[in-house]
Amino acid sequence: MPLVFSLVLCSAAALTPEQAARAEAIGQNLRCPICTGEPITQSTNDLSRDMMRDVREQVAAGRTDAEIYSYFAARYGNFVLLNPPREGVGLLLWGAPLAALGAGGFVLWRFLRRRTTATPAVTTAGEEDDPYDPYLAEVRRRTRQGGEGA
Amino acid sequence: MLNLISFDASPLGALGQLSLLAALAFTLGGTWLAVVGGLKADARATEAARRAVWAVFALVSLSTLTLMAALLGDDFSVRYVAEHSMRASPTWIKVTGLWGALEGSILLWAWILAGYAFILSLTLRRDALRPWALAAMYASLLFFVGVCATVASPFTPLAQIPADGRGPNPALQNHWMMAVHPVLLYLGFVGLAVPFAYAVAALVTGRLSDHWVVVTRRWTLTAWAFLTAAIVAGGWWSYETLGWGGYWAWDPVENASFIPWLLATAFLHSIQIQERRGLMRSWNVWLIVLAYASTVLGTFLNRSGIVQSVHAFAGGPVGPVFLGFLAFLLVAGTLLAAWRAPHLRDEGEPPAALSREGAFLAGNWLFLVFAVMVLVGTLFPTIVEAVQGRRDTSVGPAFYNAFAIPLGLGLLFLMGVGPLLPWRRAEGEGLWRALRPLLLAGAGAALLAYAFGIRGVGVLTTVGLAAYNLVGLGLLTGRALRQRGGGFLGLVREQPRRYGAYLAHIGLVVMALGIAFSTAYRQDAQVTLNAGAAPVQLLHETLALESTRVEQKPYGQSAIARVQIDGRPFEARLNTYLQGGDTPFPAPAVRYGLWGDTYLVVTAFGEDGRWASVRLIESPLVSWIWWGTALVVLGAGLTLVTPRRTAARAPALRAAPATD
Repeated sequence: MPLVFSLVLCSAAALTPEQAARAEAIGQNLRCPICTGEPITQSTNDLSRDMMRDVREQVAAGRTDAEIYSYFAARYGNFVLLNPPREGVGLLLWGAPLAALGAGGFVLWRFLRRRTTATPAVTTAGEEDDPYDPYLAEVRRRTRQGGEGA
Repeated sequence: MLNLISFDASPLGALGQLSLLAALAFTLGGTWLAVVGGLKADARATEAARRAVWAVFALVSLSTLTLMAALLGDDFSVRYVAEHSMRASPTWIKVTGLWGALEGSILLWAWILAGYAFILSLTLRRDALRPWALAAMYASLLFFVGVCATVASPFTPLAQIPADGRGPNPALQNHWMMAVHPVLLYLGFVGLAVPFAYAVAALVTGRLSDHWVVVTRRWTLTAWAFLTAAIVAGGWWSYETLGWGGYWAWDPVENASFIPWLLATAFLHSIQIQERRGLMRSWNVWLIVLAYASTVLGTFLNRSGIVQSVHAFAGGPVGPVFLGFLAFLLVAGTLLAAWRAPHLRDEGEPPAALSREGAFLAGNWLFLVFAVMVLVGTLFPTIVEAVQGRRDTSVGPAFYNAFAIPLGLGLLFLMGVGPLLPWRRAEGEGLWRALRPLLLAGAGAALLAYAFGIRGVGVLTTVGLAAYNLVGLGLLTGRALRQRGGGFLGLVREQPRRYGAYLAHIGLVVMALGIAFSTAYRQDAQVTLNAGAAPVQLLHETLALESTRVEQKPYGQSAIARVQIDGRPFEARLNTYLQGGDTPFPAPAVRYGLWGDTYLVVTAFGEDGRWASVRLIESPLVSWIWWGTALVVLGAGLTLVTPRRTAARAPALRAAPATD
């Protein structure tokens, strides 16, 4: 890592506001390796401070986000990546909510489509504005059974 | 057993342990009686089971009070007190010690559960559900009282009685929220045991017609309100102590409390479909079983130490026990539901997509996806570790936010549509007419926000959806007022359920605005200040370090920096505690404001107190989250009020289009 050593020499160069924001955003996604689940932007220990300085320097040197993340992953393990990469096992993680969304949507669509005959639109305004009485509703439902389904 | 209970060695310990064992005996007896009462339809057995609940509650109360007395009286012959309390702590810390560590927190859980069972025993109707609802409550009690009395007993005696205890966890001494948040959370978690018990009773008896849903609505709402308050109180706690100006970090244990909330919210909406239309029976049973199981999962995650979290208790033998109970709940729930599947089929036709039911179901869909997302994110690192043998992944806010923001916005959208739609079926045209002013208001508000310089897509959408929701609720209320005549208060008194729900929705809108703005426009800067030096300009403020001082307390010390921010004094502290060694626990100074908070944390002090490094955070609208929650809880409370009957109302002649 000769590049890094040379970077350390020129120390924390002044970052433009955009670069500082970028460094902050990257820092949010890097976990402090020795604390319980805190990103290095929140943690106050020396290691986090060093890592944060490292991030700023690399941002100043114009490295891309991906390069910076893989640098830290190589150094401290994938464990420090709070924004897990969307590849390998990470695909399972990122895919699960999408799969749930798709499967749930499909089930819901199937369920709502099961309704074959169109019930005439009942305006329930009167019923709606009465204070709701569940027992009354139950009685109504039972008495109406068979008639309304047609 | 004899050497475990010795009045000579520890009178309070022996009393507590004996009352726990007696409570366990009554729980066993009560379970048996309730099952007999249910199987043989024996009213006497059921009545005996009901009364046994009182004995259980009394005995668990006795042991809880015993532990409290030992904590307050510094009786270090009781193991729990010796390990988690000390003489020097202020009284309120000693009180919170009851739930400050593993064994005590399970005892509190058992006590609250026994309390709910007690209230249930007083309010249960005399019907076929009664013995089985009691039996299901007893099954939960059996687990918690059993764990308390055996593997996680706070009362096991010590070989040597120490002169002073080891003291509480330093992180838990830092803020008064310790006295509020855990209790609220347990009230919420444990409260879900009651609707679960009713669902089990409905399954066992096969009486899945809709009576159980009506009864459980109040219980679920109560538990839900506590849970909501607890989650936000926890957020406020971390805002006030963790020192980074945030309130939610998607920490595994925070997530564990959020999953039951999501499922319970979905349940609260979908039971209304069953109440009104008799549909979604099996779905509701599943939801409540999952919601209750998720509270146990949360406790398991918290207690077992399998997830890395700032909240986790040290691991112990209770982890596997909780996992076993979780598996039992899931398996038993699945078996019961499979057994009763023929009874669970809905009689009526499935709901139409364009109807209140349809909107509720779409909401349920998003809530469930949300819960799955949070669950997967929480467990993923643990699963990978189990498969690969080493901890190789972390899941941070980036993952959760990527899904939570669109899902949250989707829910906000549905929240506006739901109340507009009539039950059964709406016509597309009518809906469009009703929706138009809302969409216009939303678009207008988003444009206005854009004109004021807001550029974030998430924030703009939130602003738009907030206006859309508020205008929708306003129009609906206005229409009801016109139709009914008379004052707003009369309307609310007649339909507390509807207006309570509206109020809760308004609260959620306020919260959403607070979350969006405080996340997107939070500013953060750090500086080192010299005492007496010229003021420094930072963010929008002028900072000057006036003085530093150190306060010695019997249980630790506080280093205090007095900083003038724009002429107003802020005293930010850095506390250290006897048990914590040198680890500093920040206590930020926060100035709350309606439009934004100013938040100051000290991160380091110079050795001679000449300088202090501080972090200044300005975040807009944070307090809207707290106020919004107050509205939500108030709204939930309002829906529980019994409506005032109107005397002899003329039948509604005007059949106004319901969507208008």
